[in-house]
Amino acid sequence: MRPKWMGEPRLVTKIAKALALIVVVSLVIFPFWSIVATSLASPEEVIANGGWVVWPEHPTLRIYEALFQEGVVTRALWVSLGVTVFGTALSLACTIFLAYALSRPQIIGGRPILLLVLFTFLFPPGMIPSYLVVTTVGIHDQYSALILPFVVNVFNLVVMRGFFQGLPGELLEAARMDGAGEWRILTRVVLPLSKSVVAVVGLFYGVAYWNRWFEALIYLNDSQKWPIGTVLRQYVNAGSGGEAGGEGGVFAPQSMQMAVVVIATIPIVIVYPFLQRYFVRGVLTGAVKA
Amino acid sequence: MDRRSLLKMVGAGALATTGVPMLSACGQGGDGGAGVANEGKNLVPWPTYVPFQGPTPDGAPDATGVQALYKKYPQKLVQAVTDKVGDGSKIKAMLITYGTPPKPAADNQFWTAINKALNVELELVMTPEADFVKKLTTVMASGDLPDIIMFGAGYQVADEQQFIAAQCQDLSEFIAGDNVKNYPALANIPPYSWKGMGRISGKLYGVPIERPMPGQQLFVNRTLLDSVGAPRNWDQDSYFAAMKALKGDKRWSIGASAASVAGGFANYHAYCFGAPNMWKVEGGKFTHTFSTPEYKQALEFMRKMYEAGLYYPDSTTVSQNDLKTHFYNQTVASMTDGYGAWQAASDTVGDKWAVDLALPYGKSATPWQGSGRFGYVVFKKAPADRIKLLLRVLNWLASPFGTKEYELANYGVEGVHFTRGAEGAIVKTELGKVENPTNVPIKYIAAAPGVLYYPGGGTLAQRVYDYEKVALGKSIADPSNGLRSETYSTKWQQLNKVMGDAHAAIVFGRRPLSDWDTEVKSFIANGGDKMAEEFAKEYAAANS
Repeated sequence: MRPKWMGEPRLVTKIAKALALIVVVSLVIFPFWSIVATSLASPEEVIANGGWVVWPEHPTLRIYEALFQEGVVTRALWVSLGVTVFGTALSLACTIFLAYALSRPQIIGGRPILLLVLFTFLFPPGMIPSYLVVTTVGIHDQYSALILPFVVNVFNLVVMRGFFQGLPGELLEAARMDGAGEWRILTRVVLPLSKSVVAVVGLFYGVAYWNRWFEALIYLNDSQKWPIGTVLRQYVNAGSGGEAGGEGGVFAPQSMQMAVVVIATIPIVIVYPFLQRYFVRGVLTGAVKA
Repeated sequence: MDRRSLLKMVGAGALATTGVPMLSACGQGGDGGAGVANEGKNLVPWPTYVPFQGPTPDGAPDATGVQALYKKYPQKLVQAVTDKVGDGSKIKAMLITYGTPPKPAADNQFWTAINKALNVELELVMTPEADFVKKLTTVMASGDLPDIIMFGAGYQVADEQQFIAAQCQDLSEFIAGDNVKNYPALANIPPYSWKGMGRISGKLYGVPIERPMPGQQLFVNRTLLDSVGAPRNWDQDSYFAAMKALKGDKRWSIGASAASVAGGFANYHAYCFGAPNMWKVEGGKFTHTFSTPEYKQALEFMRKMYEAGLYYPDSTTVSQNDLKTHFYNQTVASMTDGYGAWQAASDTVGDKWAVDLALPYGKSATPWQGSGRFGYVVFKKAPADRIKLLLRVLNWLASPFGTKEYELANYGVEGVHFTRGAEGAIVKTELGKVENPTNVPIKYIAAAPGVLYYPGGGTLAQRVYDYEKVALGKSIADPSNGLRSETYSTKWQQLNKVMGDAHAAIVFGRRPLSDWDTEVKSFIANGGDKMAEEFAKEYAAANS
């Protein structure tokens, strides 16, 4: 006999579950919907509704047209896309190489290198030392300042190293006996078995590069090089805080702010479902082995 | 990795992170800030004030700080700068911005026109207000300085004056006394603005960005107030009665934001009760306004208003931007904002209702003057010719109302950013609403002294002028304005935050009014007394 919880639920239970799911989903969907709806409303309607619109009376894409025509947001999207694609590729390559090397017990100097890497995780540099390094190596005000300082994330490295350590040693030994070198073992044996962890670490890197805004503000003087996150922040903050300085600035219409939020969010929303299936497997497998 | 290795690493890291700063602090050998004080120094003279003889105003300015009123835009503009300004070189300026991101200079007709007029290539390092201090402190620490750096905007950066004295150009030989006459638009900046910026070690290091005398203001919905019969010249009772009458279903009479609830809004009531403008000087001794009975009375009155349900319910959390939306859609009937907000507010609400400035209530009201400046700019150290070039750029950008330069710097290119309406009034084009000195923030490099002219027409400028006529006569200045105090520069932000939290807790009924005295004692003991002492010495030096 099957236990009670594995049997067919009663109708009341089904309804209760459905209601609970509807409530939870609504809590997630509603804020996002109000952002989309506000972006489609006219600035006058937004003000009349106290800042947020749930159902625009006369939905319009006017704000989106204005944003894309002006070119600042479009350019920032391309910058973010470029930084995310190149940054993720470079980060994945560096993380895979380093994690693989550090996962091999016979590597010379592996332990001190691991300690050095972990040291930066436990004691991250402050903003000013990082700025000085970026300036000294000559990448200040360049797109590479958004990639190189963040090329290896120690958390991702530890997850990937743990995953590699969990692979059966016999497989690697067999490949070695067949004459494969480390490069061939990595590319032909290890990576094909590590798709899930590579996907999830790639997702972590991609989201981090896409969302990175503060470093752009600090490292890039030229606002034309700012990614979408930094531009979004400027739209959202426009006109705020002027009271102390006596300015009382003009803020960007809420519908425009929300339109930029939507534009900045859509790429991640599109990519996420394709990688989600790797998510749990990738992280858990890497996390349990240290 | 085993636990022992991890612990060793943590220990080494802790030593590195605590030891290195200690060592570096030893190596700097600074003077601890004493060098920036003006006490005991030879003070260079303030720049000579030579007012611009511009178009005849409809309302005359006066010595109390009332601005010139222009009901119409001048028909004939004069050319203020006839000599060549720049040499085609690049000028990098680090500025705050409250605007939205602009197109690059090459694609931006406003920016291009300014560059062409100045014959320079302005490279603007624009930092949104929310992150301005972080960026500024990082750049200060790096030593990699742009040509022009803006300070101010209501922020006091730690070791600001020490940094300027050590790293920036002393401008005394260029602009002190009559030397400023080489830059007529800078000579047109009124003395209160220079004094608001202050000297460092007796020298002039910067050029102020002028703002008119009135400080933060209580903006009101005059249409709603008229509907409940509230008088413009109100007293405490009629103010309270009006606020109670305005309270309605889904409408609150008092709008305060997280930023203003213990800031601008509290200040309005403090000066209505006659509290001193931040500090009071008596017999050379400084006393903070927090310590005065008038401030405590204002606090009690604000608590009474809260108990009457007049405050917007989210006053401790709502952002200033969201509060503006509530003000514009008449959810709240009043709010405080910077003085410069009157034009933006009127632009937004149009003809729907009338924006107005609230006169202070109370017979002994002492409206608080602002610092006379939004901020100031300093220059990176450079040869004299380069400094003169930078000053010529500032001089052009500060060209006064009634000049062709002012028109270009403030409204852009005719036919592109604005057209002429009735009687020559400036009417912004759609492009002018995007390409302007807010989004390309050249007005934070230098700006002309303000006048009361409102391109939107109507009676608003006249109402602001009338307000200034009534309020400025009895207004008082902050005696610490432009003075140096090491303790203030290092501790004020923290102490003010503590006092602000206590203020909000008392007004919103979470703590008893009697707690205020305890907080004031703590404020005095934790640095307030030291600030008072340092300001008193500076004040004596400046007025000797």
